[in-house]
Amino acid sequence: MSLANFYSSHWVVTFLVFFPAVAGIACLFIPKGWLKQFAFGAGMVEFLVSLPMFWTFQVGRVEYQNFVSIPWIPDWGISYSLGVDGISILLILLTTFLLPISVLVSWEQINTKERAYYAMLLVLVTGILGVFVAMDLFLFYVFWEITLIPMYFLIGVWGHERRIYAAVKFFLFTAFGSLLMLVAILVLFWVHLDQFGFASMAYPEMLRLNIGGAMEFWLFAAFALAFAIKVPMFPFHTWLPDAHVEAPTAGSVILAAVLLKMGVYGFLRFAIPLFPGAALDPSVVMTMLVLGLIGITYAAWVAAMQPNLKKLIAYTSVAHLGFVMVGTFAFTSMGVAGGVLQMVNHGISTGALFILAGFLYQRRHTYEIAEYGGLAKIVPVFSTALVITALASIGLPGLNGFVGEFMILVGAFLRYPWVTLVAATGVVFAAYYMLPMIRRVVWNDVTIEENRGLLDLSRLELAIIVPLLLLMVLMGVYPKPFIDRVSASSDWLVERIEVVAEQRSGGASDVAAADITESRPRNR
Amino acid sequence: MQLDFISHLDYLWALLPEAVLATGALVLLIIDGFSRRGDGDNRGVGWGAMLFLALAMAANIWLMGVEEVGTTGMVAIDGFRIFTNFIFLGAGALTVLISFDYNVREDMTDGEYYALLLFALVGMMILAGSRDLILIFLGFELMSIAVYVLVGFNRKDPRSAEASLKYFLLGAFASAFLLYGMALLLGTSGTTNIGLMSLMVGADSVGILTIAGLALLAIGFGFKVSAVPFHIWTPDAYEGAPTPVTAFLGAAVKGAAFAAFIRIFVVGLGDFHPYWETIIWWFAVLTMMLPNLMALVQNNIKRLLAYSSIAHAGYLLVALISANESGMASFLFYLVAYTAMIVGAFAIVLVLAGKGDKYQQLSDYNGLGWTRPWAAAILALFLVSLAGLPPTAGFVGKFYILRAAVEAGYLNLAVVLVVSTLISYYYYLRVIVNMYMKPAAEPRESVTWAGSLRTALVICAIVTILMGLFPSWPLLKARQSVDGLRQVAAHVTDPSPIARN
Repeated sequence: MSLANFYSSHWVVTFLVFFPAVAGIACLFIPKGWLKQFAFGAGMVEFLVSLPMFWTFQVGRVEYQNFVSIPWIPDWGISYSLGVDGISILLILLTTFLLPISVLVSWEQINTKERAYYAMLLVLVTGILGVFVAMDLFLFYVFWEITLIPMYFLIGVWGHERRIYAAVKFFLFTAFGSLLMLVAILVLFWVHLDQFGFASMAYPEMLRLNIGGAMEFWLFAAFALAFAIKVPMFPFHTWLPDAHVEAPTAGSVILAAVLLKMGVYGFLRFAIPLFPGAALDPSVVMTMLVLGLIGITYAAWVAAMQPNLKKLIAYTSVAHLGFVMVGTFAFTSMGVAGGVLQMVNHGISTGALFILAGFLYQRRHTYEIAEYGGLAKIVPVFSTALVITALASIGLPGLNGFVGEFMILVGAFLRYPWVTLVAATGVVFAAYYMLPMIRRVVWNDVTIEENRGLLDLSRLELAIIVPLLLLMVLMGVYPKPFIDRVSASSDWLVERIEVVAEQRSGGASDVAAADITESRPRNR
Repeated sequence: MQLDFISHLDYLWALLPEAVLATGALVLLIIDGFSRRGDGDNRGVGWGAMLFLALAMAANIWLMGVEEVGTTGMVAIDGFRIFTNFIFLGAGALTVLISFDYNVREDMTDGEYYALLLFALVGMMILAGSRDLILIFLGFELMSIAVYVLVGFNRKDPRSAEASLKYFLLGAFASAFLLYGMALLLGTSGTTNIGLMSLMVGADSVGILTIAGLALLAIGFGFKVSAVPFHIWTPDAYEGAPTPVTAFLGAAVKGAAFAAFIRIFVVGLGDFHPYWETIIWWFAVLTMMLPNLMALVQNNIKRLLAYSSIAHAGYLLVALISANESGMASFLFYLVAYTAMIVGAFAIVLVLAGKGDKYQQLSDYNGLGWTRPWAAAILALFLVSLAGLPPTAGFVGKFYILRAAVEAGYLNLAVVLVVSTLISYYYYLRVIVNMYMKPAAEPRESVTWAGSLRTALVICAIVTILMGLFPSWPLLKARQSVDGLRQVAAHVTDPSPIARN
């Protein structure tokens, strides 16, 4: 198979999905001395193989690329279907990019049961990538659930003091949503059989459904609940701070950077396009927007009060994901694209924040902000990195966070100016919680003598953080290539939604119905 | 070969696997009676049992090529029977494999153990394969009496005796209910043949006696499959019984009772679905919710698995009430998956408990993941499968049951099922938490993993994983096995708003 063939067929995706799991199982049998090197090598292979996809991905094409559909359980219409589009491509690359970094982060921090640790880390990536590329509802659900177990172990075995509580809470919260989604998937299956007369669980098939009415609303609710818990949206977010605080650094990085994105991705891929009527219902949109806004403001206030560095970062996640949800449910192309971009930005900057917090913990074994202060004089390189990252997280122009937030705010303004008004205050609040944290950690005077002996970043730590910083600057200064890759798919999504809106307001006609289902060329 | 049951010899052919097994049991009894006692080992008898199980398996394969005339014969020769026979024989073989060293360790070396096991299997196969109430009752008694003895087989252990007594008393009670129900149905319909029964009564002219008969029958079966509120005996019996027998109870005995339950209620009396729907609906809801809640507070692993097993009966009740082909096929699929995972789980519990079954508390599993990684990993696999998480057989099985329930329009039961599943996650996770996230208890004496037990474990683990990853072949077989099973009652009105076919 030639290389071009590899990148134009599904093999690249199949490889990316299953290679980490194979490498993870191999980890269990590698001699201890070679383990980290092996895991890092596997991570690098994964990343380097995925990297050309950024360029082989055909910009402006709405069809799924690298698409494949092989029967898996033909009796039930279940197939092994994978595909990549503008919504998933950046998330895939983000995941593979963070994999070798996670291994490096764990290099010195994980000293017990390393074999199982790296195995879990790698298997987790298989689950996450599977979620991002699955084009079959059953397959999607399987990958969705597979991510639970490794994450549960990562928190529960290698976490901090209250790790068991946090791990079980994480598991039960997420499982609750997904189980109801399973029932909804089954109902969808029967609806499809009803409307088209053959069994299929394939996502492109499901897009052809025309459900409507209360059924559509309930199905949307079941999907939305599963995703809202994962995002996490405001009233369902309580598992997140616990999970973040207790998880080991690499666990937090993966959790914040990609695992949460599975929730938003679920909205964009499934809940909204499958049930456009329900998603566009004014009360649903209002609920989602208001919950997103509450998430932005409330989480910001809570974050400002946190004495614990990691908990603060965890709440910033809730706030940032609130932004993403607002962008998504504004249903403008710019808002959706901004949301996708902001997911990537958040993954990079929050991931970096967790990594930096982990560096501090490595040195002082505490996350209490009060335990630090005046670090700028003692560890200047670390302090510089922390300040840049924090500014990127706030959304300072020139760094990546700005682009996504700006697009979301503009996107929302086109439809709901008042939403932008409230959301924009969130940017101010972000400064309100982040800058005092910087002041108390980096500036001020050295109050605790023990801190005077802190070492600055080692070469290994630099190798971890510098790529992240570079990416922050790159995406902040020249975001065009990233936006380009998203926009075709976000346009399609909004177009599909609008066709439904027209149809609903102008009375359902067969022509309009055909428009929705045919609004996207499907791979067969 | 075609059997029309004109000649009496036909019955012998139709019951060939059962006949082989019953002969085997008698032969084993006789050989054991003449052999020298007191050598502290009954492995020979066990291997004899394995031989006869293999012969019965061969007879069952032969039965696949046999056709019967009509669908109301006293003995059914259909896919359902053949499929369940395979499950029971497989479960029996696994039980024998995990019993070898346990029996020696616990000093229960009487050869009758294996003979009783075979007798119980004969009862199960008759139970699941007959279309006549009398024969079903005979099967029940043959199975139950053998199992009562097996539960109390460890005579030196008072818990075993208590379990046996409790099981026997309540089991006998349940048999009385069954008989009453059967008698009433015989009275109103004039036949004991369940294929003819609904025709004789007529679905439109169901009287109070028929309903009473159905209710009594449902209660009797409720006892046998340990549906809440008739489950009180189960945790005690499961905890007190010798562990291989517990595995056997959980997998095969329950499966056989369910097979008969389905054959009577879904295949035979499917026309009366509106009349028995309500009682079974409540059985299902209670049996899913209550045991899962009770299991949350258990500290003994055998008791925890016992409650888990009751909850699984609740899931199977959902398959039953769906009363469609998917429901029956999902029952068959789930039974295979469930047999593999529950026997596997009990096999590990059995070894880790050590001589005298000392270590059965959850706290005894602390740190097991790091002191005995293989045992813990395999136990975790079975627990994950019992919890119904992908990519294991338990997930596909549960998915199938859910699919059948949604197809039949029981969305409410589907939701109850997933909510109870969520509750169950907590206690399955608890075991995993203890194994992997708590520090190890003080080192204990080493345990031996006999080759036969290892074989059984490997088989169970492979089945659990393969049926989770590549379920299409077993799914196809399960569906083919129930093809046409409901032709007798094909005109049942389907309650589903969105159901097909």
